[in-house]
This record gives sequence, C-alpha cells and structure tokens, in this order.
Amino acid sequence: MNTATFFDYPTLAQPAAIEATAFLASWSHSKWTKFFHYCQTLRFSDGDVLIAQGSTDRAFYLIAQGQFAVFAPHNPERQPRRLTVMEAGAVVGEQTFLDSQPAIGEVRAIGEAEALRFSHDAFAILAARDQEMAHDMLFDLGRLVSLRLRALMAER
Amino acid sequence: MQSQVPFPNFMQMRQWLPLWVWHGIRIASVGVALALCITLIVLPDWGLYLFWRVLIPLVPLLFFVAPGLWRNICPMAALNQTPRLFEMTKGLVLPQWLKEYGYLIGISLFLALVSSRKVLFNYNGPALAILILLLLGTAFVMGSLFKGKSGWCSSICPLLPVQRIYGQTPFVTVPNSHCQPCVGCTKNCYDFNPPVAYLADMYDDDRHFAAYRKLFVGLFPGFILAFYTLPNPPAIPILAMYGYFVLYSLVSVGLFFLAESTVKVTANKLTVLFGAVALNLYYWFNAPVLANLLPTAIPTTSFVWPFRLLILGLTLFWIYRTWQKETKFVEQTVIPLTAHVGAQDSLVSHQASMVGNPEVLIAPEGKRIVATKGVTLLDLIEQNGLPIEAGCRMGVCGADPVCIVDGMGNLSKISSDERTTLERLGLAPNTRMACVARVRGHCKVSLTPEKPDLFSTSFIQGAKFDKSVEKVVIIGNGIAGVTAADHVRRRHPHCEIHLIGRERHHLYNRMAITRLIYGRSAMQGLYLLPEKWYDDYNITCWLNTQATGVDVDGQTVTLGTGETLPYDRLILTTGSSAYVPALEGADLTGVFVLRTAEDAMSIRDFVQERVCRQAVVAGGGLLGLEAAYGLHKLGLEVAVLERSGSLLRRQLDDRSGQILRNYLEGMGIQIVTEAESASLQDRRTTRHDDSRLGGGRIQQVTLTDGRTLPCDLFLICAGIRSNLTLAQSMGLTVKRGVVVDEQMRTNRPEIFAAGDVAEYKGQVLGLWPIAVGQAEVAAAGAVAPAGQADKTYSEIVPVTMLKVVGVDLTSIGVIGADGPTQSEIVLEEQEEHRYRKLVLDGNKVIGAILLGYPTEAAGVAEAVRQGLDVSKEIDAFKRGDWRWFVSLME
Repeated sequence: MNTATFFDYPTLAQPAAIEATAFLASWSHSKWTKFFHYCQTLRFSDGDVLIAQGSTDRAFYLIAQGQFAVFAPHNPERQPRRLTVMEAGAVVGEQTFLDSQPAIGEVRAIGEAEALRFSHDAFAILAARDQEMAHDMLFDLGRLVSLRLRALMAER
Repeated sequence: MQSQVPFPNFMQMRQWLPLWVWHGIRIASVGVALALCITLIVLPDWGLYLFWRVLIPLVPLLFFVAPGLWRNICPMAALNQTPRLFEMTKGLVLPQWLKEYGYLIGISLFLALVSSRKVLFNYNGPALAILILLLLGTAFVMGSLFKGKSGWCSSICPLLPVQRIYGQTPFVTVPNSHCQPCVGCTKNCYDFNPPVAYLADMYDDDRHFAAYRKLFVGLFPGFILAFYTLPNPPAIPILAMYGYFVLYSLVSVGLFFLAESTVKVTANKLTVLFGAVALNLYYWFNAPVLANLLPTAIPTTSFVWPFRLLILGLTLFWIYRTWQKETKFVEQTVIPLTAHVGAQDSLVSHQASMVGNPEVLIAPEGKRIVATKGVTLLDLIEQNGLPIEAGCRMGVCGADPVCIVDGMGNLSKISSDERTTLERLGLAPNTRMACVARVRGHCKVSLTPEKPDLFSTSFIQGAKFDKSVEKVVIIGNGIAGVTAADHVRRRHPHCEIHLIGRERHHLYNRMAITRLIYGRSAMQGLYLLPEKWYDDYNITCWLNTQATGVDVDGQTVTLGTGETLPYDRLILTTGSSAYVPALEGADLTGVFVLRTAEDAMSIRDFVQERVCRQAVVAGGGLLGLEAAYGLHKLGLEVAVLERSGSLLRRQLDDRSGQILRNYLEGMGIQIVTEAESASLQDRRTTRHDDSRLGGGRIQQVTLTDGRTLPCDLFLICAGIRSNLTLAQSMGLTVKRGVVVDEQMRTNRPEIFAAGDVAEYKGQVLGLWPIAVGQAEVAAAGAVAPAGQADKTYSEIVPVTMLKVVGVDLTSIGVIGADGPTQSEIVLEEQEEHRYRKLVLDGNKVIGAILLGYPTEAAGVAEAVRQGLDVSKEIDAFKRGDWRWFVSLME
C-alpha cells in the first residue's frame, strides 16, 4: 500500500506529486474558461449517484464542490464498500470517457455537492473547434491513466 | 486548506506558538531536567518523588491527549535538536541496521529500564539522575551525528513506542515546531503527520514495521500488569522478577497474536484495543498515586474511581475515533493517483459564475442540472446524456415532448408552431416540446409526457363542417397526411377517415432518420404518435399499402391489395422521393439514397455487413451534411461532394458556409466543393456475396474534373422530387408538383393536395412546417361546407436548422440583401466560432443566418414571420445586442 503521499513535504516532494497528477496544469485561465463552456454543471444531494456502476456514459467529471465517495464494485444486494473520498478539484470517470467500457465502481455524493460533466460529444465539438486543446486534453488523460497503471504495477 | 486535506501534515497545520516561544519553553524544559538530576543527587527522596510520583504518572496522559506538545517540549528532543539548531550537526544518514532495528532497540531499552525500576531506579536517586543524564547526553550526541530526528526521537528513544501507541489519534494536535525545515530523515515520521504515522507503519509494505509495533503493543498490557502486581525485590529474586516480566509479556503478546489469528478485524484495530487496555491498566494503578497529589482535604476515593472512569470513557472514545480514522486512511490509500484539476482557481471562479443560474430537475432520474438562462430543455437534456429523441429542433415535428412537472411559468412562452404540434400530439396540458422550451427559471421536468384525456376537447371550436362529407381518404401517411387526418377529425367528428401509407411505419420523425444510421435504437423512439392515436381519432390507417389508382369521376381509390375505397373528399399527401441524377454506376451495390427510415436502416446494415470504411456523400445540403455526420459517427471516413463553392448554399452565405466547413473538417469530415460526380466505378470483385447481390460493388467515384475518391458507400443526397405518378394518372394539373390554390385545392374541387407533392405559387419547398401548414388548410377546405372554408394558406417563411452536434445553425427566410431597400447587419466572433447576419428590408427583418446563437433564433424567426418593425432596435443589433429577439419569446 502506498502511504508515502501522507509524508510528502509541501515545498519539495509535493509539488512534483501535484504536478504529476494535475490535469492540464499547463492550461491558462482563458483555456480553462473555454473548456468549462463545454461542460455541464450538475448538483447533487447526499447519496445521489454521479457515476453508476456499469454505466457506459462516455463522460468524465470535475468535482467543483463538496465530496464524492467512490465505492468498490459490488453486488446490488450488498452494501457497497467505500474506497475513497474525492474532493473539489478531483477528476473522475476518465477511464470510461476514454474506453467507453462500463464503470467499475460507483461514485456518490456526500452531502451537497457539485460536478462538471464533460461528455464525449463535447469533446468532439471541442476537437472540431480547437484541435490544440483537444490534443492537450487527450494526451493528458492518457498520461494520467499511464501514471495510474505505473503506480499499480509498482505496487505489485 | 486544512479542511480540504483529510490528514494534514505539520506544514499544513496552524502553528500554536511562535518559534521563539517554543525555544524558550525547550530551554526551560532542559533546565528542569537538569535541575531534577541535581535534586536526585542532592535530595534523592524529593527527586524520586517528583519524578516517579508526579511526572511519570502524568506523561502517558500527555502522550494520549496532546502527544505533539510532549514532542515539542521533551528535553531529550530539545537537546537532540540543539546541534541542528546551531548548525553543528553532521547530518549523517542513519545506518541501515539502525534504521531497521532502531524501533526494536527503543522497545528493548524501554522494557529494560522500566523493569529495572523495581531494583534500582525507583529507589536510587543518583542512579536515576545518571540514567537521565545518559539519555539526555545520548540524544544530544545522536543529534550531533545524524540528520534531523533520525538518531534519537524517531528511532531509539525508549519513550517512542509508547508515544506511537497512545499518540496515534491525538485529542489535541500540536504541530511539530522542531523541524524547520523537514529534512525527510524518517519514514512514516510521527512529527510530520501525527494522525497517520502509526497507521502508515501498520500498513507499510515492509511487514517488519507492523510486526515491531504489534509486538510491543501486544506485550504492553502484560508488562504493565507485571510491573504493578509483581512484588519488588528482595521480596522476589531479581532473576525471578525479570522472568515474570517475560512471562506476563509473553502471555499478553500471545493473546494478541491469538486474537489477530482468530478475530476478523484489522491488526491495527487490535493494537488500538491493546493500547487502550494498557492505558487503563496503567491508570488503574496510578489513580491512587495521582490522588495523593490532591490537597489532603479531598478524600482519595472521591478521585480514584471517577478518574478511572474518565480514562475509560476517553479510551472508548479514542478507540472509536481511531477505528474511524483507519477507514478514512484506507480510503485515501487505495487509489494512489487521483487526478486534480490543474487550475483550481479557474474552477472556483467558474463555479461562482454558475451560482444563481436556474436549476432543472429531471425526474425520475433526479438529475439536477444547472442551466444557462435561455438554453432549451432539449439541449440541456442531450448534453447530459439523458434519453430523449430529437427531430426538427423547431417545435414542429413532435419528437421531444416532455412533461413539465413544476415551473411551467419559468419556461419561454409557447409559439404558434409549438402549439400546433402540441395539439397534434394531444398530450396533457403540462407538455412542452423540449427543443423550443427555453429555461428562464427553476423547473422540474419528466422525460415521459403524461397521457391525455383530450380527445373530446381537441375539436376546433366553431368550425363548420359539411355533413354530406362522409368519407375522406388521405393518400400518404407522412406529416402532411397525418396532420390532414388530425384536422379533418377535429373539424368533422363523424366522417370516415382512411389514411393510406406506402411505408410500413406509422408516422415517424423523418427529420431524424440520420440517427438510424449511427444510433443504437433503430426505430424505437422515432415514432411520433402512439399506435393508439389512430384508434382514438377513429382513423383507419392502411400501412404498407399502395394506392394504385383513383377514379376521379367515380370518386374511388383503388388499392394495390385490390380493395376500393370510395371518398367524398380526397387529400393527396404522397410526398416526395429522393432525386437521383443520371449517373453512370448509380446501380452499383453500395449506392444509396436517403429519404425513408428503410433507406437509413439499409445503409447501417450495409456498413456493418460489408465492413465499410469510406463513404462519399454527394450533396452538401442539409440532408447530405446530416448524413455525412451520421456516417462519421458510425466510424467511417466521410467526404462530402458539393457542386457549388460552399456548403448549404440555399441557407448560408459564403462566410458562414466557410465557418461551417471549418467545423466539419475539424471534426474529420472531408468537404470537397465544386465537385460533381461523373461516374461511379465498381470493385470488379468475384466475391460470392457481391455476385449474389448482382452487379459490382462501388469502389470509387470519379469527378467531372478527373479527380477520384475511394469509397465503399456512395450516398446520393441531391434533393427531392414530388411523387406525381398517381396525380398525373388522375388528370390533375401537375407541374413540379400538383398545382393547388390557397385552399390547397387542385383543379378537381373534391381533391386537395398538401406537403411535398403540392405546388403553390410555383414552389415545392419540401419542408416540414410548410407541409403541416398546408395540410391544416387542406383539411379545413375538405370538410367545410361549400364556400365556407375558414383557412387559406399563406406562404410560410422557411426556417431550417442543421442537426449536427455542436452546430447551432438556423437559417431564416432571405439570406442576403438584394435591392436598394435591403440591408445587412453582419457580426462575427471568430474566437467563439460564431456568426450572425440580419437581412432587413427597410425596417423589417426579412431573414437571418445564425451560427452559434441558439437563444436568439426563435425570436428572429418570429420577427421575420410577423414582419415586425425593428427601427428602434437597429443600433442595438449593430452593437451585437440582440436581446430584443430573446424578449419576443418570453
């Protein structure tokens, strides 16, 4: 189990870690503003589902406010096991966005929360209008997925 | 920041005191320790009392409640960090063996020293003073040699194992004030992150980390019990005493490992339980000791039991908190790499900009969508991936009715087109067409419209009908035919209505057939009326039936099935077919037209069966572009051939055509302008499946200028031609279409025509809203008493929209000024890929092109339809302020 992140030193190691997991860190405010134009804002109450297990909705989400709990895959008759809690700023659902495979787990709001939805259709529009931004996004998503794969391999 | 981090480290915590204050406290702490040593030597009884009866009974409680405070003021830590403070430390990295066994050394020191209290340190002040001085000295030396706190505080300090157990879930977290800055000297450093350090040890990949901690906490309760229950030497031989210590500790640690093997909880939970037992045992025996510190007026018994219960209560709460914390800790460690938005500030400012926007609740899914004011419900629903059909996006086809559960007043007003559609659908009064209902405030929407009980109220009030008209036959069950049937019934409650359709389907959304190419749901959702609708309206519907002849004198229609239907009134709505220009190779396999649902499904079948990769669409009109988009979505490489120099030449000017072209090309659709097909060539294959179908399969298209484009599929979208065969056989006046007057009456007074088959004032426009308007007039004329028809047709301003994702394109009426009285207002926002043009005739809007302005489109169309005077608004329009159009629809 990787516990090292609890001991990242803010001024030394942590910037590297933040940079590694930061999504589109190189984008300017104006690019982000443009990107948000393609997003939909959704609000959630406690327990509302952001991503349902098995959903093939090709979209990823940016958590804008509040918290969301990620649950492990579960039998519908059983109580799901909570894996982690994601806070404002986290990116979630990028795997289904990329591969259109059913979502493995489930993501539910904890209390009042807000998320921005970026769909595959929105990506197609962005790509048609601004290929550079679409290129940036695709590579960065690929990089994040690759980092995750590396981390998993390192754990094994 | 602290609130957003589940386990903040000391750098993320607020410092309690300025650094200089801590330094002062530490000087005092070392001074006290040295003074204590002197006291132990000079006045041993006083010193021993102070140390064993006052300080030591309180220290575990301090570890338990505010361990960070001890870590900051401990005299050993202060001396350990002194060389570093004065930059006298060598800052060496701890040797590997000391890193690995430091904790075990600390445990061993603790056990040896504490058990030796019974034989030496409890009674001998100088010995204790020497021990304390040795510990202080060792801490200092190790600090001089090794980096940070690695040489003592975080490795071999004998108090560390106890601090780790009791201090793992502090009631009061005091951040570390020693390490300025942290030098990263220790793995899972307690000073760096107090709440997770112990858990990190327990979950460390190196199993020895957890093993040492389990060993110590396992034996600890037994060790304490031994300490307080064993007699002191000489009442017991010294060796026997040490033996009993070992025995008690072994039994205790044995119980721990037995529990770990049998009880299905995490090892950490057991360590917490054993730690709690150890603390309670300690204070069980030390409560009377602490009671002695109280003034003599207070009876000992009034302190001891309440104090023991207080400790028990605190530890129970501590156990609960620690167990809870472990769950959170595991959650945080399972997903090692959570991506975060690179610009949190931008996210926050965007979120702030959405505050106050209307919220649309979609039932029963329960989705709460924050809407931009003016967005249509359809856009909002589609953009959020919810299931809804769409067609014209103008409120006329009826593909997207939704139920407004709450907040009807917070939507834009209902236009005449939408009202007509709603009347045709005959749904409950809380229905709106999602494509034209714009959000102005909070509302609750259900995607399933409510069933009506409206048949009895849908008659057109005051309409007169000719009772002698008993049988009405309508040939064609497209939108014109169904609208005609609907309006005949609304005006004439008793007549027999026969609706004859060549296709196999009830009325479907012809404007959405390109979705059949790329969508997964085939015809599902494309039907615009429930099957029951025909029964409700008492309309006999003949599907998959051809009208092969009409005896206009005998007033009968002959069906292909051999049956004959007499009529009093006949309405022709036979529609149109795809136009196929003379083209060599047009009969090859893989060449298609797109006019009906069957056409679209055949294309999808063909693409799958023949594993098509490349398609060419001939025609850059609305249908051609929508089909190209459909094929692109299906995964094909698509090229569009357009004879003229730009796309949608009837709907767009050059600039907007170029913007659209850029967008489509950006999407991956190749646009080839000034391109006309000369011939199609086949593959000349001998494959069995191709020969079975007869003829070759298309391989490429050659253009008139000699260019060639490879393709597996060639789709002709070259416009439509009215279906006139039947009308011609009936002897009706036919030019491009069946010629009709303003009542949609042909040259035979009992025969009417409407829709794509009708020619009015020399025009066959082939648009859905026009077909609807003409059918209403034809129905009114068909059932009205002679000379009393209350409706006449007036030309409808053509409004067209391109239905490609990401393109909000509306073209209305005239698209370019022509003549001295006409003028244009043209505005473009290149960065936003938006363009708009208003065409004025004097002070009246006569047309517009809107690319990227969906909110204004309906208002502009309304202004054009009504011929409104906009003289007062022209300056605002030139400035780009077109809100006036929006206000028209509110």
